[in-house]
Amino acid sequence: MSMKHTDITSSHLPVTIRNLTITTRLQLHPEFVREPHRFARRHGVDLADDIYLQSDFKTDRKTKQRVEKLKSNIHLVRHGAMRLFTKPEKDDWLVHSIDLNPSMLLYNKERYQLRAGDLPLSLSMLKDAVTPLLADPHDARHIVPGLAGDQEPIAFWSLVDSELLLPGIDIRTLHDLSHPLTGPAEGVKKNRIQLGDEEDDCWIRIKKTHWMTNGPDGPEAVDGIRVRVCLKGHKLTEEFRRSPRFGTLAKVADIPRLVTFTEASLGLLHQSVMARLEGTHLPVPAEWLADRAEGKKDSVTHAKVMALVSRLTSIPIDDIRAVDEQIRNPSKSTRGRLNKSVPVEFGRLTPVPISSVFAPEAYSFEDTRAHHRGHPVDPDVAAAYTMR
Amino acid sequence: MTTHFHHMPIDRTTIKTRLEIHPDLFDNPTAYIKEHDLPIRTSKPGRHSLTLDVLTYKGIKLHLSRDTGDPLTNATIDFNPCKCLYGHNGYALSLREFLHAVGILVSHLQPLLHDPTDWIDLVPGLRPDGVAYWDCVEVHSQYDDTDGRLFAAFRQAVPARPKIPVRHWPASMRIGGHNSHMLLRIYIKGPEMVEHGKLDPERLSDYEHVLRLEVQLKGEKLIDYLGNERNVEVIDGVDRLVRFWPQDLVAGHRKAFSALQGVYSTGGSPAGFGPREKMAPLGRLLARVALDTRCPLTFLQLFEHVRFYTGAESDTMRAIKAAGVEELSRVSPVSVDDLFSDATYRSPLHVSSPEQEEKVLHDLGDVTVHPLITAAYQPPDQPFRPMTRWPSYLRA
Repeated sequence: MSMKHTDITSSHLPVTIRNLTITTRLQLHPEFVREPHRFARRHGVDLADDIYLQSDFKTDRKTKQRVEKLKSNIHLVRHGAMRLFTKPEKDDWLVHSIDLNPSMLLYNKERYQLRAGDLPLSLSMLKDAVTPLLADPHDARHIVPGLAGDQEPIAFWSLVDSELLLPGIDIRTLHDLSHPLTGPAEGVKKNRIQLGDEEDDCWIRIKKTHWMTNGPDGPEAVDGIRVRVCLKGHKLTEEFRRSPRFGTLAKVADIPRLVTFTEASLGLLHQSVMARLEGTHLPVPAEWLADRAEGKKDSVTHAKVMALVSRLTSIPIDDIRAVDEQIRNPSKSTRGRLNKSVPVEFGRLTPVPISSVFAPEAYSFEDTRAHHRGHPVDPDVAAAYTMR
Repeated sequence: MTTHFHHMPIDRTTIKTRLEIHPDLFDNPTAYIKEHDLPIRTSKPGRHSLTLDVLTYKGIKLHLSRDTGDPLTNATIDFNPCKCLYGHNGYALSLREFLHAVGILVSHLQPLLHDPTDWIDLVPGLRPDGVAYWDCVEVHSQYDDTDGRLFAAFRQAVPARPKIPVRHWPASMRIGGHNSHMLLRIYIKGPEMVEHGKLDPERLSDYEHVLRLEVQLKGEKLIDYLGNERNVEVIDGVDRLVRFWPQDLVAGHRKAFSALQGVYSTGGSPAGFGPREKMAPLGRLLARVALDTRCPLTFLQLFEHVRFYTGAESDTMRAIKAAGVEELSRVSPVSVDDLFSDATYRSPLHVSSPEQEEKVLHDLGDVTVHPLITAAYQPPDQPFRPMTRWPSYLRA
């Protein structure tokens, strides 16, 4: 079958894809199972490592006999780029899921800002890499979801993990974060806020970071945060159901699943999730920054501390002042000064809803880096996954 | 006079050693496991490594890695004595139970060795110039905290060194980084066991007020807190912990937790402020606000926010912190002497989980304790304590 390949040129993606997982069911070629390295060499498959069999021994409840269950991971191209999770079923070995990190595949980096066209390109590379391993070449349509044509789909997307870089935000100015999909942030660290556990169907991780960018006078360091959103299972499907324009759902074994999405929709999906984040962003007041810059000895004052504590705890400022009265019984003049300065400092601390930080404008990012080329894009993949 | 304790209140431990593993195990782990009918749950080979989950429930995990041409394999053994015996970690093991658990470790790993008499290198401290040592030990104690005042006091804890991170969850907290040599975990035990499937939710009400104080010690901290003149030896040029007695664990636990600031009561009335203590009232203010039931943040969290937002100098912040810690200690209801008394360590609070314990059964032969193990881990003058009940993990 001859195949016409499409080359895609366009600009950038607003978010970085960290990981994608496809759930599928593909029978591996028996010769590959028997002699993987020899088979791979003969068919030009780029195995990244030896293949090791993990054995789980379990006791069968009925027979009380110990049963051995095997499973194995096949790493293609390089570790972290493509991983096929396989298990035997009767006499055959089946691929049950595929993890793909396009950044690692295309740029040999765990996270890299992808350009438009990189997703279809990496999916084409995945399809081309896995097809020779299959017992039946026609099953190739079930490697990448959305390519099954008129047949009932087998492959679907079961995990989408993407990340946004947001410059100019200090993680320490984000407070009381909570999300309807995850519940409140817990176990907050100085440089990391996490909502939800990694075992959950949705988790969000915000980390302090810095990166280099091209400025007018050469490379510049930018401080900011990295915001990672991971969706899987039911919550992944529900997010795409909320916004049908993000992707296509279809029934797989009677359960609605995500079968295609466009590159552009990843940014929209991220924004749609983060726009529902609850909590506050409380920037450091410009006047306080100026006090610091001027090296004022009294950059910390009672008025500032009381205003800040009230803002952070929602305990009324009058109650905080009552505690101060108990502690030090201030003089009349001190009390008078506080009467003036506390409301001023309180007013300078202006919290804004955290959702405003994730306005659509935050999802524009100019990238000037070189674009990966050299591998043609499968036309079916291009049709299903290119920006529309 | 030596103070005797009768419990080994340890949780997770790690032993590092070097062993001559049976070559057939590396060549074909699955076949070896089947042929010898070994109680192994999972076998995970790698390029130069092999990881085995031993026991059909958790308790022993063996990670082997070898260098080409070296007949000896580097072995890391994750060993949880309590899980070995009971399938969960809610008990403070008696000394005798700990020795049983070590016996189980030996009986389960010995079949993997090329020469079974090498078992002596599975357990640290059994032979002079041995290669095995303890690389990580977790020591715990549990308290009845029905009124929640103990956990509330620990939530305000300030570590002795400012760079040590403190993290909070609704029913737990951690002091120390994930990879640091000392990590304190303070948590309510019942909900944690339910979350991990180790306690039937219907039994939660029995244990939802049990507070656990756990310290994980590694590397140099292991030597600092548990080491002494009779249990540290030099292995490959480095001081290593090769054995411990019950009193060593008590001393280490007590020392680690006693160092926390702002938790234990000093009592007394609030002192006045000197003319140079301009910032001290702010520390006291933060402490009082942190103790207000409406306040979602701890003293340390409020303090860190003040430091960040105001950009105050270190001297100023030190003064604020010192005054805050002094205030927290002054009003704390927790007595350090009572909390870490000998009597507390002698009568530990246990959490039982019959559903988990039913799954664990060991043959009497597995818990046979070699005299060398007893000699290493039982103090020579230890008073005899009869076993008053037949342990649930034994079958005749």
